[in-house]
Amino acid sequence: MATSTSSVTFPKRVPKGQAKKYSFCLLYDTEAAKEKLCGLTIATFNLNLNEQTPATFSEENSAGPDISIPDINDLTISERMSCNFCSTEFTSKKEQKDHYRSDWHRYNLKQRIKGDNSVTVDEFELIAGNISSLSGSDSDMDSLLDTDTDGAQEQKSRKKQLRIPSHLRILDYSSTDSDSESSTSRAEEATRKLPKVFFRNNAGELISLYRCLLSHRKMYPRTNTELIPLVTSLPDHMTWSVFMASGGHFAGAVFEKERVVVHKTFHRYVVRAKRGTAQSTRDNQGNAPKSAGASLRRYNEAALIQDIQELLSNWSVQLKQCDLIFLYAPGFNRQIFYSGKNPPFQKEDTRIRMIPFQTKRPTFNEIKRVHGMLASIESYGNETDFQDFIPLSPPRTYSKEMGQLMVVLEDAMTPKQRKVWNRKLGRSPLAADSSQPASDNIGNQTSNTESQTKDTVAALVIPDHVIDARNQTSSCTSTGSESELVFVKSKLSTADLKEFGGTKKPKRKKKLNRKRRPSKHQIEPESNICDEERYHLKNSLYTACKMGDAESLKNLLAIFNKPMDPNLCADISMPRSTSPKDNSRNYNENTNPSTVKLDNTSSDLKSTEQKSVDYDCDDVVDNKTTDDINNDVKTTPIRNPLSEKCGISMESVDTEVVTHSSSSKISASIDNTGNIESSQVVDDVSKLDEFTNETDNLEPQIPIPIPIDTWKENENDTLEIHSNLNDDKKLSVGVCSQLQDCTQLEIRNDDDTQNSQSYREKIDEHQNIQREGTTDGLSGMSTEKQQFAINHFQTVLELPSPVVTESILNELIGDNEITLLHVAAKEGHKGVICMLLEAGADPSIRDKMGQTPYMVCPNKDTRNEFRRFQGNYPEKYDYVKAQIPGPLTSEMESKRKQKDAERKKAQKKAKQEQLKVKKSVEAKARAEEMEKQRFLALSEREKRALAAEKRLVSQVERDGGRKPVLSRCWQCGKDITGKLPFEYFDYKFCSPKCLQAHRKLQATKS
Amino acid sequence: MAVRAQFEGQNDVGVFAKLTNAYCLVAIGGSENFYSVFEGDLADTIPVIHASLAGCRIIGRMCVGNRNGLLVPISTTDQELQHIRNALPESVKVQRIEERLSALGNVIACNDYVALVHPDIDKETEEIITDTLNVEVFRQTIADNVLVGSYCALSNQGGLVHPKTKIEDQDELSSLLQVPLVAGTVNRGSDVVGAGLVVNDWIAFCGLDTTSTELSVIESVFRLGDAQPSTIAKEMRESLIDSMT
Repeated sequence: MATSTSSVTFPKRVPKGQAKKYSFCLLYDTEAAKEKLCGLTIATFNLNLNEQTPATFSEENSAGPDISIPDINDLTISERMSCNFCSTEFTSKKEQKDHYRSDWHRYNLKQRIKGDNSVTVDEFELIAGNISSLSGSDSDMDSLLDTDTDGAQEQKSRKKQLRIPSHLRILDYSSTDSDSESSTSRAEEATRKLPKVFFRNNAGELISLYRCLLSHRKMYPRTNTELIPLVTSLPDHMTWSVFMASGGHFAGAVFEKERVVVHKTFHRYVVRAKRGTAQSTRDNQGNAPKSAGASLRRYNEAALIQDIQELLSNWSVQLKQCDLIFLYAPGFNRQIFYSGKNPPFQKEDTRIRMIPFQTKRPTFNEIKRVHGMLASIESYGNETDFQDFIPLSPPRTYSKEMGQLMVVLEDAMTPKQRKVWNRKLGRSPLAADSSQPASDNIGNQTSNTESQTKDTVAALVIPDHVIDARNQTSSCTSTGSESELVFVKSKLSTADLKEFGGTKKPKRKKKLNRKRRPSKHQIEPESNICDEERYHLKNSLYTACKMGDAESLKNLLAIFNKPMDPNLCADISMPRSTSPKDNSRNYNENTNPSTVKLDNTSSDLKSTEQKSVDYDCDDVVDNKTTDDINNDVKTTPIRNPLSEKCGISMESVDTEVVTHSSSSKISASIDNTGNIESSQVVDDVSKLDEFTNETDNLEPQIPIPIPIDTWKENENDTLEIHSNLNDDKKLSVGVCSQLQDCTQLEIRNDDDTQNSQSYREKIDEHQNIQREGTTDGLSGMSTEKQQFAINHFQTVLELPSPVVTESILNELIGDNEITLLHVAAKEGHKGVICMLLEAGADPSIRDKMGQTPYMVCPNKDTRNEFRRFQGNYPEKYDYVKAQIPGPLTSEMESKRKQKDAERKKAQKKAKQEQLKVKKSVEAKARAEEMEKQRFLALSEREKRALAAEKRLVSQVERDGGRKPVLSRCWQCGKDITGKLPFEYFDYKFCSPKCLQAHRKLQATKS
Repeated sequence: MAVRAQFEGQNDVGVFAKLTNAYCLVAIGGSENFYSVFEGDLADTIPVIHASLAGCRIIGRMCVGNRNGLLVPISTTDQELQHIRNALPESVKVQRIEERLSALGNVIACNDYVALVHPDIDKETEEIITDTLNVEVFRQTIADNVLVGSYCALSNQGGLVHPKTKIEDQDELSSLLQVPLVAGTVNRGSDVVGAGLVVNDWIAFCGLDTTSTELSVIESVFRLGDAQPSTIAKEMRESLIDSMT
């Protein structure tokens, strides 16, 4: 019933039916195809079919949008009383109204809505029979019709009878009407909706071809007859290509007749599994997800498009030769073919046709199936058998083994059965058709199938319940045929098992991967000593900032405060660790000789001189400057016995006092020179002895540049003295002022012997060179002086100083690109911040997050530090850029403080007042409480007396008389009428004070 | 008189309003514009009531009524019903009906005398319609559409039906309704005339897009040209006096 109604309910659909005889031949079998295609005419039923489509849709009858304005006089109430559903006329108004209430009308109405034809009153009588009334609602109607009454049964059969002739009636009507021109053209339009065109060939066979083979949709010929020449020319143009893309799968092939010229398949993950929707489609809905999967799909989509477009451009030669290009690309896949800089296909290309039937996942097999389907000429037997319906072609699948299409016989299984069958085989229908010819494609074609498949074919015919049993056996055989199961008895020993031996260790891989690679800032440079020094300096600066160690930072920053003094630069660039004590050790290890640099230019020398002017050896300076200065040699520390007392320079020396962070440095260098002395050539040694003597002698002459107490003022324990010798040599002598811990030094010396030894070697080399170079120039020079000079020179050569500038303060550190100022600000070390700012750290530098140091401050105090600095140096930095809101001067601060103090004062006052009020209230309450207690403690009689007293007083008052005094305080005579008196014995008082006084008085009396 | 109006940019005024000879319901909307159009033209003759039905603003499609009564779907809340009852004149009966086809405005088209209903409507509903609205009920379709309320607009003077209604169907309907019918459109070619237009015996409101041609068709078929409540009364009086003498 369902099938029969469907054809009637949807009259727009073309009726279809099974062909009794079905076969197909392929276009590329040129001989057979030509035979089939000779003497073609358009199949007659093509025309017939056309008419029935618009049969129910008679537009001529409808009024259409009535544009003309109706004249009021034209508007009339119709006099014609009729019912169009039931095709009846009425004579009276009442009759008409009654009719509309009748079941007959209702039934017809429903029939009309369903698309069925109305029944006459007699027919209805038969249908309805003894059923008295039909309910309005649909469900009731159906239940009524489905009841197993005789009438209903009859009605069912009647219905069938009614339908078939009505169907024919439509056809008859259309065939009689087909001579009109307009209806034919409309008809053709309707049949154009069918994917196939039907022809009749010489043999009278009805054959069909896919419409898309013949012409492009847009340039379709007006009449079907024009198609025939197109068809006959088809077998000669058989270079086709098929492309399919959907769901991340792509398959494409170029065919020349049946031969595959090129083919390729791709797959990429572009559509989320089990959810669908290509990523780009999802993204276009807005709010594109950022998940890893999404970005993966996004990438894959782009990659897929690129892959395909590249492939197609590679195939461009073959594609150019193609006669037809078949395309299946739903949704976003279209853009693969039509978009891009140079799209593979043009939209105007008339060779491109869409595949006019359902396809499965794009695979090479599917491509071949599609090609076969498209290229097949289907024949359905004698044309005269098909007058009022279109023959259906059975589904065909592509068999891999056979390499050709095979027909699946539909009636072998219903779709439901097929589903069940697939499930029983343990394969999804998808897997079935992609892997090998599935159960359903075998059909009844037993001729060329293997024995194994025969089994399954047999199973197909067997009813369901038998299949179950069969299935088990068949599946067994299918697996059994490939491998045999053999039972083997074996002995397993557990003796060699170790505990946990077999357990898998948890994966560490992830952890390893996560290990942070140090950023490039953190990698210790190894190549260059200079870099190394710089690195260490930075490191210690960072540590100082982080720890808020103002002391060490101050030492470090001293470099920047005196940037002109190269000595210091070098010295200070050494420290590795933060604490000064450690520093001293570092000095020993790294830089035994404390000297650093030679300044060969006179200008530099001048600068040093100028500094030295600060000290009291001005007179010597003149001497020195007049001389031609070749070498400018600096501090060679020597063990000088005199140095214990004070800093001493050599005779006629220009001295310069330099601060040092540690004393041990000097001691180390002294040790070094000691080494030098010991290992020196014999004559040198003797000279040196002489020299020491000389210095001894010189002692009294040497002016003491700085009094000892000034040194003490300096935090530093050592002095370095630059001395310019008269004979063009500047000799600076580092002297240890207070060698308090000589023992310690001794120990250090031991440690350092090794180091100094290595230095020693180098020094020797240099000495030799130096000697050759300088002996002539220094001919007049005393050997010991020469020795010193050489020593200095060597040490200077040995230690290249890192270029230390203020830029190091503003360098970005770490992955977050913070500056030292950021570090200090974040930690809230106010002193450090101030120091850094003064040293030249720029507060306007932003870190990776775009934050200035000011912004990372944890509290107001720290922030105020910046503002205070701004107050002190309003021009030094770009404070706007640094996000510092405004300067904070001491004046403002004091004002603020004052304000705060005032406010606090006021607060305090208010609080006190509050407290006072509270106290008074409390006191009142307490007094009341006490009064109460006292009252309660009174005896009944007393209470009554009191009450009477009060009554009396109030009465007197009410009467307007003066308040009578009934009782007075025994002590002070105060009126206590109506009040609770304080009393002892018989005395009554106004207050405990009076009571006490009275009592005391009594005591003294007695 | 036919007036153009728009409800928040939408032309289907029939969706958001219900107009009869005795009252007018207007949907609660964001702007008062729509309401004031009705208020301005009707306030001195019939009550214009702000209402919602089951929390919806599509009251024109949810309810059906004439000067005798008003039918609302079962989903109408008690509060809404009470509000409507309070605002309506005494003579108008309000009834909640339990009907599967709950968009009563779509499935019922009526004037003060006749109602066309969806063929599938319940028998009980049919009876309630008859009783409450005092009308004769006919199960009908308009141009093969079962939603008779959507595809026609009726008044006691005339009716506008779906543009594709066949002539014979028009004849049949006209004889049933006893009013002249015209097949036409509103709102620049919209065929849902019931939803695009509200009409009573002296005024019609249609969408802002309605062309002047459409408007003049409406005016002529509903005889709105000189129609005012007073003239109608005069006409009636004349005919009454005629019949009494």
